[in-house]
Amino acid sequence: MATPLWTIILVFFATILGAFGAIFLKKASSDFSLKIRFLWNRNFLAGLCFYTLSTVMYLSALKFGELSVLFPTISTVYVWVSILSQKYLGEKMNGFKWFGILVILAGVALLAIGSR
Amino acid sequence: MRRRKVNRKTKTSTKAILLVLVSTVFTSIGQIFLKSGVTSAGNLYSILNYSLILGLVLYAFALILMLLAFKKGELSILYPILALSYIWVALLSNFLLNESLGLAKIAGVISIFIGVTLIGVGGRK
Repeated sequence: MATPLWTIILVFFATILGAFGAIFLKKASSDFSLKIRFLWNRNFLAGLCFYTLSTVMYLSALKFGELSVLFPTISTVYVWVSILSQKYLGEKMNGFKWFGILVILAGVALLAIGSR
Repeated sequence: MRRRKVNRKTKTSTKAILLVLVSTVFTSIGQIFLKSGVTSAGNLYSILNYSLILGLVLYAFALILMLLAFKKGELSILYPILALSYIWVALLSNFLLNESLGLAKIAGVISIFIGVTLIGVGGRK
């Protein structure tokens, strides 16, 4: 089956949600414990919601698009996480990290090309 | 005697990196089960098949490992390590589904590995 454009766009938005989910999970991790109590942690719930929603969107897209195209599209999430982690977590980006992201994106693109 | 060049507070621990690494393996295996579970679901009733459930369980386990890891490191360093799952999926597809690797895929795998390493190096600056 070919990969319709709408599935790629759907996955693209799913990655943005996924990135926000990661931010929430990072915030939740500082309160993490294996106790049931943790399931009610606000950041964990928010992270799980965003993560689940983005996964549902991704699975829906997978029904109509090829894994070898859609899976690499998720790689844009690393750009979002890098940007959002500066804004919401106070983390610092630098040349190495940005270049590393670029190299990862290039690698994913090569994987996609190799999957044709 | 080793001198710590990195500020203790912001350093991403090796344990955290290893935890994320292990979680990527579980994510990749779960990915394969999820895909097979989704495509074999003919209608809404058959959506809860074993493949899908197993995939979700593996994902959940990977999530727990990730939370443990995030506790001890920066997100902008740990999160890109998840990109290693692309490598696992490529290798698993090669072994299990006989999908050929080819030059582009091998270059892609090496590239991702270099990228993750660069980010790790960047995290120690």
